[in-house]
Amino acid sequence: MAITSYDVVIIGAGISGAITAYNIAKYNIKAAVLEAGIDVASGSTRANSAIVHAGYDAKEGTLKAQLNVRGCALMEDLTKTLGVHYSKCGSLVIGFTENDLEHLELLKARGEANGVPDLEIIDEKRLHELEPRVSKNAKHALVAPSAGIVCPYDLAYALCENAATNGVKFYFEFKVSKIDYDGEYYTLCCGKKKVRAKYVVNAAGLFVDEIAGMVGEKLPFDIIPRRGEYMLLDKGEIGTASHTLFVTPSEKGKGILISPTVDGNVIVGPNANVVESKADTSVTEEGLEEIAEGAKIIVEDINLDATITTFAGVRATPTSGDFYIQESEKFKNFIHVAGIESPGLASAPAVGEYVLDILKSCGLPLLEKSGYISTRTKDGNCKQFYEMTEEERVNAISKDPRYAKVVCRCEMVTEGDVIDALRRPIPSKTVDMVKRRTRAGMGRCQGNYCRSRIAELIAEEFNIPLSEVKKFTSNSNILYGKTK
Amino acid sequence: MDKSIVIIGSGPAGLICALSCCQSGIEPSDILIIERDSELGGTLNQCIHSGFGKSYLDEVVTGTELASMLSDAIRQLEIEYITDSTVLSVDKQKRIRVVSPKYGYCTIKAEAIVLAMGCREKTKGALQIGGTRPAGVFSAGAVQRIVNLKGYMPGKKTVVLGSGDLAMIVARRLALEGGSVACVCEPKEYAEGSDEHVTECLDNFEIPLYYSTTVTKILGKERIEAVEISKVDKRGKSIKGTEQKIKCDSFVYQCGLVPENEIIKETGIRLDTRTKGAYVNQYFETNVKGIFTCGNAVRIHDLVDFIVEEAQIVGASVKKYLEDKTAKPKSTVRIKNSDKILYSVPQHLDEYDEGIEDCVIYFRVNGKYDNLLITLKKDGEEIYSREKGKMSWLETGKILVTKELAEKIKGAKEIVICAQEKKNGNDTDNNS
Repeated sequence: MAITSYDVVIIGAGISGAITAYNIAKYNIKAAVLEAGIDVASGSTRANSAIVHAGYDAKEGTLKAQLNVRGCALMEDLTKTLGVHYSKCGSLVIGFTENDLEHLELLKARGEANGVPDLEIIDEKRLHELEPRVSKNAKHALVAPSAGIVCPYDLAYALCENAATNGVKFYFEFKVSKIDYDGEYYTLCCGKKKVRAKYVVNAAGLFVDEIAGMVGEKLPFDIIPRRGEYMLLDKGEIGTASHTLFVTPSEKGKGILISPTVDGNVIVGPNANVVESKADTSVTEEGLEEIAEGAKIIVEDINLDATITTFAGVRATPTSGDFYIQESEKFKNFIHVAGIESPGLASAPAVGEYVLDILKSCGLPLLEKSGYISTRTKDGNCKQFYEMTEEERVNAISKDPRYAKVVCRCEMVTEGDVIDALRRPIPSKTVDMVKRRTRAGMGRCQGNYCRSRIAELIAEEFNIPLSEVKKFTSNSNILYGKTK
Repeated sequence: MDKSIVIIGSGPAGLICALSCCQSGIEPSDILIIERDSELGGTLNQCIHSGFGKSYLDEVVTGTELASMLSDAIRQLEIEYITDSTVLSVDKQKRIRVVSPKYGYCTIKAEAIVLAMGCREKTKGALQIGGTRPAGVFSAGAVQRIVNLKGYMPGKKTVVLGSGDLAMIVARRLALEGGSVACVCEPKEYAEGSDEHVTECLDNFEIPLYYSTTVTKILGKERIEAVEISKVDKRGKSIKGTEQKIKCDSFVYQCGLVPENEIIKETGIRLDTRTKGAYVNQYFETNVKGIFTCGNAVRIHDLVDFIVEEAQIVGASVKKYLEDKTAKPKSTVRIKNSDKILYSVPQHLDEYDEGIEDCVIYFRVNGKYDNLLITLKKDGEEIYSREKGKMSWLETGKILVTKELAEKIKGAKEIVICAQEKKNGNDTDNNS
């Protein structure tokens, strides 16, 4: 069988792989993305704090600091272009003691050195005006107006949908297990499946070290899987916080944050515990208690009874503490995008630029593509029923009456939206894929009402029996079989 | 589009309210029922077990039968209804935004609205169970729907968490369909649902019921493979060292119901934080004049019989309202609760020219008591007292406001419902 050859192959469809694919798609480059999971954003990008950090955390002079501040500045335009929900809600780092105040001063100085705009330390009075629910014990806060929030997997979908629309090929369930190099082409194998490329971008997240190992390279640091657990609160609790609220960091770490999400929920978390398995996204009773305690330091009366779901994500923490984005020291045209932990989401737009620059300096010719489509699909950025204006709703329904049938009542997702998600440039095939694209099942009933109807729509679309519809991966059938 | 009366929801509350409107003299053509599902009947459709209709029909039938009887009556009267139709919002001016295959995206202006949206299940998030998020985890209501309406099984070996009536009925249903229920876990020391259900649904099917036990972890990568169960202490905390792994391919939980009132978030209707339903007067009218509510949207009911009563009250109240939309109450009496009382509905009594007419105050207590005395106090003075005897949170208590009692209530700003536990005949204690 002939092996398909590409100019560039990107390993991983997390946020770093997605932004790289998006940037490459603008040029006449034959490119592919190899993803081990069944969908875009299957790893760390799927479960994190969804924060666009301003950039005062990273030490001056680090790559992390540089890309964070730049990424944060680029985020607004990028999300606007792709129709991704983003809000520049700002962040507050809250101090309780004089010691904390000193620390806030340090953070402010560091942020200013990093180029973070408009940082300001405010007193108790202003703090409580901005955030009335914050504990009365809080005395000061560092305000970063440039910080924001974005939905990480929605951003990754948007980037990949745009890339796919512009000709980038996506391979899912392609877990690279072997890489050969003949001096010109890298051949990447997943069992019997093979593709080859002149340039490889290793954006495998938690697995960058393993991919590097496949070409016989040892990265100059280790990747430690650190799990962060979260609670997501019902939309009714949106009044809890209007900015992202952090506590002053201590030796123990960054602490628990409380933040609104772009979809109107409140996210609380994360803790940070080293786990043995990179795939361990389980939540623990102790972990949830830890988060609850941490959250109550910031907002004492936070209503955690309104938790609609709990989840965990695993971060790829490099022992070096900094991002590592460069061409392999041993292998030409093999680029590592490694150690991208927080603020990887905020930095993504800048990571994309940075990777493109490296590819260019490696000799990859960048000729602009004629007929480039700047939106998610050739018909623009998909808008869901709940995002439409009245006029758009009327139009959508007259074109397709399925837009008049609400399937997820919590998030106002219609059958028309679900069908659209099943037919996007990177199509959904399972209930969770539909959920992450449309929000159907993400609301306060967590899909208990709509899940079976969505499964029916998937079964109809792909002409498969209902019992064959999956939650996510291939052995995750939702229903068992027919009744007696 | 204009319509005199719009009823949102076609469960027992909505349908009986529509029929009751007609009985009180409203023209059937003045009514529109909006239902988001494809059939009338609401949750009744998935309740294929018996136990419905006692007070309304004078016989006990299944939920499905009651739904079809009520729907037939609606069709016979030619009351208009639209199915597969979802209300997006309701505003103070009684304009209803709705999407429906029949009318598309439209606004309906109503003179009176009845909110009969019923309730929804709380989710597993509230339980904060550890572990993974594989396929095969369902709420009890979702399973009832999947099995009874779609004809599919959630799995063949199931662990159930919660011993409310719904959870027990679902456990029995799975057993009847050839599934096996490994166990039902109940964090409390007693069953949440009725003793009859423990016998009929669990004991008779040899399904073990573990008290003071909860599920602490969900195990499995893609499809659920097992759960970890643990004993819990009196405060509901799991006890370390008591963990036990139980293999299963599905997990069903019931963690309670909550009134579904999302669409009225921006209507300006005041909600009671205890019931999660609207504040109502004895006519089940909300603080927005002309907007009424009944059924599980008001509070979670133990029996459909009470929903029937409320729906009938609302039917008559709507008629009265339409006759004189400007009538204003002369005074209002707030109904407060002492400890031991979980909540009471209505939350206030309105007095019109004709005085406070005969009505009912429904209430629930917050525990299980052997000998309870219920009193009503006005300015500290007892104006009503009734020995209730045994009572638990499972049942609804009623205080009938007769002419005589209404006379005593008259003039009060507020009255307080009190519950005292009588010990050894005369002693009463006031502790909660």
